[in-house]
Amino acid sequence: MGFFDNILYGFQITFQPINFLFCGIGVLMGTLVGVLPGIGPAGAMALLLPATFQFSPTSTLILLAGIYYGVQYGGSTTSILVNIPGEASSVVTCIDGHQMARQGRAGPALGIAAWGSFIAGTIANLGLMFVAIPLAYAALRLGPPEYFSLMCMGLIIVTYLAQHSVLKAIMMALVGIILGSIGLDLITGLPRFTLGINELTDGAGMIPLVIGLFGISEILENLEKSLERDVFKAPLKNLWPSLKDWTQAKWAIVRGSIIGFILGILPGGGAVISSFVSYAVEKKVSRNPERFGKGAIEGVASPESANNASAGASLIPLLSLGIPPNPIMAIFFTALMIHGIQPGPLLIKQYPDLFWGLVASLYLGNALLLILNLPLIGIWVKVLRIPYKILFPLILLFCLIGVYSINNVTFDLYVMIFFGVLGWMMRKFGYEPAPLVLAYVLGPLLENALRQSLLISQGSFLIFITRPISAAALGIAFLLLLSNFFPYFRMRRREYEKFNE
Amino acid sequence: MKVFDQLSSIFWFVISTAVFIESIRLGIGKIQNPGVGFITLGASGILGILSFVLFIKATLTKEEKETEPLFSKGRWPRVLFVLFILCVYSVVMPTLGYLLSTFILMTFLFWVLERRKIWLVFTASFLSTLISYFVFSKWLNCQFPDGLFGL
Amino acid sequence: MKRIRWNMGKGMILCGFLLLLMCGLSYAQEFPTKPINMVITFSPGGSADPSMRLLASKAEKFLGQPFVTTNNGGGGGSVAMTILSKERPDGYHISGCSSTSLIRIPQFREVPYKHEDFVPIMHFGAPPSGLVVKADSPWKTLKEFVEYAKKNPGKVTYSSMGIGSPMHLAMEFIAKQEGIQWTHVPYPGSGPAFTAVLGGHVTAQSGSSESYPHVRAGTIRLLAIHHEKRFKSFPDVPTFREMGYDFINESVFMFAGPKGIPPSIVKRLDEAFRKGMEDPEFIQTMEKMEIVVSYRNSEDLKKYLEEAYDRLGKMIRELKLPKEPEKK
Repeated sequence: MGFFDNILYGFQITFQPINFLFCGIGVLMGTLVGVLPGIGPAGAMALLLPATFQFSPTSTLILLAGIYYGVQYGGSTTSILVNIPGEASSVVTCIDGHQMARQGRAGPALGIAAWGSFIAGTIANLGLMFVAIPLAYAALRLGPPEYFSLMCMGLIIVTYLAQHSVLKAIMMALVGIILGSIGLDLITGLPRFTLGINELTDGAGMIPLVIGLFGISEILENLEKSLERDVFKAPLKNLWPSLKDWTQAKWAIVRGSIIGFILGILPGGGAVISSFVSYAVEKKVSRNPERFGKGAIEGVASPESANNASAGASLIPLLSLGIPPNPIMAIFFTALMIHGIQPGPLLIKQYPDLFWGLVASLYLGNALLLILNLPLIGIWVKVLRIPYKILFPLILLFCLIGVYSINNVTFDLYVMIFFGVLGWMMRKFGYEPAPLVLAYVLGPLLENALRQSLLISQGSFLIFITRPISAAALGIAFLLLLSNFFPYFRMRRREYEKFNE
Repeated sequence: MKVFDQLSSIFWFVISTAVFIESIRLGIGKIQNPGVGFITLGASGILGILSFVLFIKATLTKEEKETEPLFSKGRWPRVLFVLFILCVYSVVMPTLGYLLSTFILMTFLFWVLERRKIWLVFTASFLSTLISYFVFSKWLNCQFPDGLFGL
Repeated sequence: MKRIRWNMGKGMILCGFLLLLMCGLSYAQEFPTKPINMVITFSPGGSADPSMRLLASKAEKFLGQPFVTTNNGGGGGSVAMTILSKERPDGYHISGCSSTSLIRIPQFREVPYKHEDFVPIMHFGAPPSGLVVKADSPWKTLKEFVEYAKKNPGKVTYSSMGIGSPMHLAMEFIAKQEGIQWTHVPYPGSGPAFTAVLGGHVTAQSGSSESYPHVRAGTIRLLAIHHEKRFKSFPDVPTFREMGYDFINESVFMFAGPKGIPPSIVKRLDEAFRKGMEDPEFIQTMEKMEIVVSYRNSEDLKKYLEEAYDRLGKMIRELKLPKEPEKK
């Protein structure tokens, strides 16, 4: 009895023809949506939702979960091929993934992303089965003070992301914080830095920002360079990750999965943060960190694993507490409500078929996605063979449609173009966009947590130190900050010793 | 890089000053009860200092190799043209409708790099417009404006 | 080449004329003769978007024309309302919105529209709201909670989905009447605000339906609700009015169009939606989604909105809520 019976029961439900079919449709649709930059799964889900009214809630959920998982798989494709992050959580993948593509190693990059996603999905699934409820309740212990300390920790990672100048990376992070503050202030509800533009009350928008900074700027740069020769001159090497790739990436995948699963439970940007954190961790533990940014396979494997694992983890608050941690989970929530099921603490007990059916379908979906994605790699790699004069208008079109489809207003297009120009200039002047994006995500979280904490504590800063989790996180943040200086000290000491000799 | 760093540091310094002033106008609050502009005040303040540091650092370093021109000759007008087209597209798309405006956009974009075979350009843009419309609008439920002619 | 272009131009002009002609003809026939564009000022997910889509799909049967529904949740609905205010008032452009974006947002910050720029069509319901505390807390009733807050000024904290929201106003209403000092901790949305009370980071939450599964499971206690009548699903929970606080959550889910739509067209839309509300599937779904169903026709809703606008303005002044300073 126990887990084994439950999961067997779950598989019985999943392998019912209708559920199997729904899982397949879901992952197909999700892959398509995921590959297209900007287009979120919300539109596709809203479209399919009314069609599922006749079917059981389990089938509906399996379909939605299929889309959701499919999107996570597809996100890395455009990052690697054309340097356009499909969504914010694939931003870090661009750094090394696109470099690999330029070196003719698009195949291994895509392959390791797919395998990494599969392994991470499986690990997240195991986590979902065994520790969902305890983890959900543990996450409840994190209040504003803990968030503040965790976000401080996250911001320190910015210095790890720097490839060239740490100074410039920190400057970009500050710009990211300023950009992140655009919009309505949470505590007073008043707009700031909106320049009187109504559309900016929700902020500049994550998707237009990343597509502009990464994708559009890349296109502009390529247009400026001579296009008579192809952008991807490097000959294609192998299509699959080699044994060497695997030995380099295997621990990165495992570490990425675990980081992603733990951080994924944080509401509001868990997937984004976990991808950045796992990348920074890989760079830190690597024996030769200088390879990062120049096509290191760990730099693709670990963030891609992390964002997939966090996708799985974000189901936890919904299924065990009934709280949707992000807008896509909110659609899951609505779907359940329409079927008359109230997601909440009693969900797993009252609807075991739903929970275990869903868990089993995640295994199935994962496997289907791997089977679907590995052959696709061959096709994606051929995309790079398309002459750029044909490719670039199409990429631009996809970016335009993707960004437009978020809110159906053209204002987002202006934002994208603006950040495209900014990113183009940043490339010329030697600034990197990744720290900016991380700070853009963390900045508002940090500020809200700080101000909420101080409201709760009535203005006392002791709240950050008296709470154990918060104190520990602050301590680690401090150590991380110090660790930046260690190599510097060591270098000095070596020089000193040499001098003595 | 020397001139570049000097230029960009001045740019960021100007930005940070503007944000700094606006933050003060928004209200900083107290340290126990931070106001609307508190975080941006801090961020822009540090940004200002760092851009100053960058400026000094750039001025003090010796130039190792010759600076490449910022805009490689003859190519950047092409970039400006594409940017201009994109902006125009963003403005007219809601009134002209998706199909028509996208067709025009794609024609220009294909034309930028392939000026000889006009019929090829037209076919390519026609196909890409139509296919993208069906994929996005019919399959993925994207909601495009219909525009003047109901297209 | 030139010739082809010229021909295309001619063709376009011809098409334009034909379309204009068709538009002219369509006015002669009874409304509606073509699909109606409806923008929902919420993102997919939550209860607003599906309930509006469902009601629209029911109303289609009585109109004989489908709705083309889009979503734009930007700026709490203010982005979509700005666009709508500039549309032609022909009844083919309407929005499914919350009264919030009409009467609340313009009173807090500058938006390019006023609530008079729209003609309300009808409202069909409202999201539920009420006050919850953890079930292992010592307060069994609202009275006990208020007593505690009175004796311990500054000790009670509560979360809500944001400043100026009906949930926030409800708490400040009590505070003013009873002379209580408690601290409001705003969160970005009802979900995070509920997580805060569940995790014990704040004492209470003034929130919406996200807590009801937990109320049923016995981990959270619903003290009182902000509505006129008690809920069917929680018959023991009193309303604020019953407890002596004259506060009602006045926000409603409604449909509106730009000012100037002919009254006959407004009436036709109003009737179609009202008939749609009688559909058993609609009634059932509203119950499942915990939406409090209510109805007002166009004229009553207009009056209601005006009154609510004034009441809210008075409350904002009395409570001294932060407002965007007017630009010179």
